[in-house]
Amino acid sequence: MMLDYRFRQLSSAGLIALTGFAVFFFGAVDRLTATILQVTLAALALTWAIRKLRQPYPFVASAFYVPLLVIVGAAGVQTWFSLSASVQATKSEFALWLAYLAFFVLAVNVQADPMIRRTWPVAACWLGIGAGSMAMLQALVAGRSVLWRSAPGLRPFGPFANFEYFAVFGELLFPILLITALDASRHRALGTTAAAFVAATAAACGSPTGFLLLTAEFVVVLIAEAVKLTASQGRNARRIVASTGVLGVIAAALVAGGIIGQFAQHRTNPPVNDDTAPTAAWQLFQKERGLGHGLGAYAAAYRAEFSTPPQADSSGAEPVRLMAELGIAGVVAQVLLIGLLPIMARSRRSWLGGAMALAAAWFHSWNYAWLESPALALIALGLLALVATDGVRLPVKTIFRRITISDAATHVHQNQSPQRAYQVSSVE
Amino acid sequence: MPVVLLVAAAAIFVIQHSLLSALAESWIGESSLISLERAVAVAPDRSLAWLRLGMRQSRDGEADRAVASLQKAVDLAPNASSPRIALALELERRERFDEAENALLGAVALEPGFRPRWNLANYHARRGNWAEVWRWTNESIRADPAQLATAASLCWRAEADPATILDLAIPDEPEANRRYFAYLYDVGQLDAMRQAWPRFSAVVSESDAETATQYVDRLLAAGFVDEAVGAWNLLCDRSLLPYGPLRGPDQRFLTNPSFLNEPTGRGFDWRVHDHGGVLWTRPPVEGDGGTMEFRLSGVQQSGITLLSQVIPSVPGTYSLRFDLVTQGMPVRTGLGWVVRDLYSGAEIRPFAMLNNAEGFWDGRSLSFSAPPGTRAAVVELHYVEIESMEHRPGSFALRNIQLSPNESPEAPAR
Repeated sequence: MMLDYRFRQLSSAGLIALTGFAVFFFGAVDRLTATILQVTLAALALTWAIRKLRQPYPFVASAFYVPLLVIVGAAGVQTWFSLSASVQATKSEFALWLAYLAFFVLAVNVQADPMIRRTWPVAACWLGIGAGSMAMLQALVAGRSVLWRSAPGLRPFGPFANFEYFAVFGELLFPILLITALDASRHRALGTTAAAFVAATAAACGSPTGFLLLTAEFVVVLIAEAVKLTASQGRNARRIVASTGVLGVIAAALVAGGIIGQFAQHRTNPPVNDDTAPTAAWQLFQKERGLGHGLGAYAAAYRAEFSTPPQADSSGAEPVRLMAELGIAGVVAQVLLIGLLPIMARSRRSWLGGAMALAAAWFHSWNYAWLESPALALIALGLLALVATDGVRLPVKTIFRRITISDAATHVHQNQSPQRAYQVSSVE
Repeated sequence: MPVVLLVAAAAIFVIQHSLLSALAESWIGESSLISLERAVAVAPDRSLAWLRLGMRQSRDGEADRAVASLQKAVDLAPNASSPRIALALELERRERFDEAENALLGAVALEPGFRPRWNLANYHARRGNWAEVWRWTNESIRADPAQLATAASLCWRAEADPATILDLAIPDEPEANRRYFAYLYDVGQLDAMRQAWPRFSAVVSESDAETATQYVDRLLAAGFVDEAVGAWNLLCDRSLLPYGPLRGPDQRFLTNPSFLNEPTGRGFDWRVHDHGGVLWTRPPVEGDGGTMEFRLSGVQQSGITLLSQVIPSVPGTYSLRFDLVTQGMPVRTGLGWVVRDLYSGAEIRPFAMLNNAEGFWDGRSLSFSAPPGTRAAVVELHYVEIESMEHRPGSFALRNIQLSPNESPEAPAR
């Protein structure tokens, strides 16, 4: 039987690979990629369930499961009792949110292990560098295409079919990359490179909201770092120099990206924003406050209520749309999510790298419905798992109950791999 | 254990639903009969699959199966209008008219938008129920005025009386009136525009000023001078044009006489004609009057019209006064005013060359008599080159041009 640690490690690698796959394949907005994503996540969840039966292992609970369960539960009821303006659409969204729930539960369970948790920011760095360099290269040589394929009618940037998606991708990743760059770890160079790449490309993609939010994130981290350095002034001059250098490089990348973004094609031909979108969504919510019009059935509900079709790019006001689709469940889920963030975030890393990034993306969702991209949803859930597991220590109940994580960490400290540490500890 | 079973059940549902949806979507996209039959086999609860299958069967002549498939699509998506519309078309094809109309009425009840109403209007058009066509066209436009051109084109294809279309098919709403007037302008239906003008004029706004002045041009071109003056004056009264009304109590016959505004070249405003070798500018207005300057490079052609304006004249004698200044122009400048009948082209006041006014503003005047029957005239400033004239560059400017019923004798043109 595979070791518990090894199993979690493989699961973690699988989740990270799936996120990368979703990002690099158009943000998983096409049916094929979304299907691969859902099937793989469901298979992974099934594997965990079967393994749980055969070999019980500690399951990490989190209060963040509740808002997701509320969404999934409401969508399940809407599907089961056909309480939707489009039952088919709601059924599909129900399946998708079940996959999201599976991803989040698995992410929490793998990130509860500190050894594994450390690999996620590193993976985020590589994801940022990969997507950023690809976006840069593509913008330079292939203009308005996505993955070097022509995309008529779209406003692509990098691997995403819409530059707003890339902006949200930047907002989500940027803080954790900044923290990785600023923390005195062996990943400082990687973090700095990744943060600079993401800052430059996300600012250059041409989204005004994205640039504003990236700048806000940078300023908040800058202030937090300044406060931290002030507290340790005189004691750690090398750290001050290092932090200043890192922040300087990233600020330069952000400014350079912002200047390029001013000349982006999207600026001259901006998306048509429908100012009536929040009002329309609110009216729909008012009409079905209880169970809503059905998750994913907003378009059908809109057609039934309003005579004129919504503008093509008017998919803003996502929080109100979620309320219109889910009714009271949409309100509860969002209140719980927002309310739990400050309660669950304990460390500087989860405050800045998790909660702040998610807050920025939530603000962006008022302007653009980025949740339509499963890739971005997975990144957001990964960050939420980072907050959820802040301060969590994996309870060891199985064959490893005699050892603790700190024992394993000790072995790691002695230049052993975490897996080896577990193995050694288990023998002990 | 129950949680594990729940997780397993959810995982199986996700896998099954995702795979079947992806397969169904792929087959629906192929649109061949066999693919669509596969699609409904793997996703029998997908309305879209049944809808596409029904449409395919209809094209293949399988009438009964098509109706059954479309009915299934309606049953699976009771809140959607598209399957009902497709079913109605199929039922109509099978001459089951009452059922077809009921299906369309059902679609109308479900969706407050343009499409179901427009389909119902088309249905009645095919059946020849014109009263219903007007009614549902009216409803369609009311639902979405942006689709007015589509709806109005059906009415015009029916070759109906413009008054009937206007009264019955076009809702008397500001947006609809605006769009209908613009549509009529695009398709060149001047008579219908004249009928629609009262409605349009009631809602005309700044954004419609261009359409309205183009309408004035069309009226002038067609000889409807009084209507053109009426429309022009309405735009002036509403401050949509920065001029005073023509032929009003102050006997105004010229528009923009002091060049306070850039000539638009439309309606009764000045038209400045571009020619090679001639540059014109309107310097910034100082005080209460502007000027219009022309620079002749020396290579300008002869016999050209530099400036003109249509005037709504009535038979009688008129005086044209203006101030002229020249620089570098020969004594006989080659410039002169011509007044001609707008429609016959007959000269009312022939060309008489103006002498120069080097370096000072010189007031000039001339008079002409519009013969009986003159409805509109055009005042033109011409440039001709005579053989003995010294061919050199020069410039001149005009200001304060006045046209009024005759009050003073004609001063000799110098």
